[in-house]
Amino acid sequence: MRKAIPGMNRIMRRLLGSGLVIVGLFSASFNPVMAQCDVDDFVDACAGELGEEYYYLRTFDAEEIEGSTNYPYTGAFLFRKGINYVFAMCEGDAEQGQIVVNLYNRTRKLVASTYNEEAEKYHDKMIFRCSATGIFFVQTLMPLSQGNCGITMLGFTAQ
Amino acid sequence: MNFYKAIPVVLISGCLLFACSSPPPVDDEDVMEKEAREEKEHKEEMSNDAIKDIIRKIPSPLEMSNIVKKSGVEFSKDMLSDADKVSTYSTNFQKALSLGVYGADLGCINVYEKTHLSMGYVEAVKILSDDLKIGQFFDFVTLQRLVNNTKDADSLLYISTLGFASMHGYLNDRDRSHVSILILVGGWLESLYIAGNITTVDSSAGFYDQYPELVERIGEQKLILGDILTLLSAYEDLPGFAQLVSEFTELREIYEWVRITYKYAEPDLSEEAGVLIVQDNSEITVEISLEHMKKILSKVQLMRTNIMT
Repeated sequence: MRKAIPGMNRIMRRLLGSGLVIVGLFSASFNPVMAQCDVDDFVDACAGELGEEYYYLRTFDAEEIEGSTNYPYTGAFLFRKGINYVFAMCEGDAEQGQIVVNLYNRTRKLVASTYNEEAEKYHDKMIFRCSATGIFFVQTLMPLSQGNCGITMLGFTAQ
Repeated sequence: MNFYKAIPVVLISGCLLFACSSPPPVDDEDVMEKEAREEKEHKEEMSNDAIKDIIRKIPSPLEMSNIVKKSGVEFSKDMLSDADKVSTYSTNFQKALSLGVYGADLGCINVYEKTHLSMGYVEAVKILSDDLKIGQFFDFVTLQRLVNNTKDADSLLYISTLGFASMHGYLNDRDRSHVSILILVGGWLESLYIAGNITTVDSSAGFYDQYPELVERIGEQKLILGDILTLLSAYEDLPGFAQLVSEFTELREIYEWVRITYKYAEPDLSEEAGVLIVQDNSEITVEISLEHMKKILSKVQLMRTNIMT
């Protein structure tokens, strides 16, 4: 049995329900908003969302998600004890779908999700206070709705 | 069609669209094509995706500098490499490793808000990245302006980190992952050097007692060492890599004496001002003797010296 991915059903339901997935992608080349969707536009603004005490570490952008051989994109990272990691999600238009970040530990057990399925609530920022150094898997789900794009930014600060 | 079956269609369509809309950057054909060809010829069987996955795991040297500062270690120029030596590196192998070292030093300087010391390191990064044909990812005009203002340490860090991130992405996409790996390895080694605060290994007994949290951070590098060796081994036929593999193999043998245990506990989730807070409750124990910490630091010091001379 396939395991449910937090946020995935919600996003896909929203996308397919709106009937825009395929039509949207094929018409995107004619859509000036999608064509101009440049993740660089989000970087500086999103850096401000990290918080003053946090240092910028890296960006997960739409291109990386879509270019991945495995969807949804999942990357492994070494998170260190004594560091607070902040994830800031920045979308062009949250009404068209919000980014979801799922954090899994080394055994692929879900540690946290920025989407609370029960409450149907999204968080656009998550802080992970790491107490044991180890490999974690970060999964970013990006709604592929027409004309929308965004990034997830990762920052850190020592505790 | 169920949701999951729709995904490949969406992905392929998306990839085509993005591929068509991205203008190709201008490359220096001589260096770029030669390196890409060499990488293809000599890289052992390992997919680009697998290499990228491992590369992502290597932690940023900035994290270590931040931990060192928070531990109460005073800043000293002795922590850093000599930026004046930049002109002595002749091969791309040396230049890539040194770029990682100087990049880590630049990060350390600015974490400590000693921005006025940055100039030599910004220049070193410029020289090396230009030589490696990746200087286009750094906004040197802005970086050099920021050097003159201590209040701009955060901006300097942000711009330089963005530059390094873009540079790694570019190298990995163009069959020059081995250059990216060397830069990361140089940075990783330098961060270990900074964490060990190595002026002389003989004085490390005091360090061992005074900074147990840093000793633990040094010990837990065992978790990433195998991945670094895997990456380096994939390019063992390229000039310089065999020696590096040999050095890292020796380092790993010393690390075999470090014992790491892990105990999982459910995290606590809460919300503060709309922000999801995830308090990790798992525990890690790193056991490392003074003798083996000294051996690790001594080896790191030697490897760094070999890189920088």
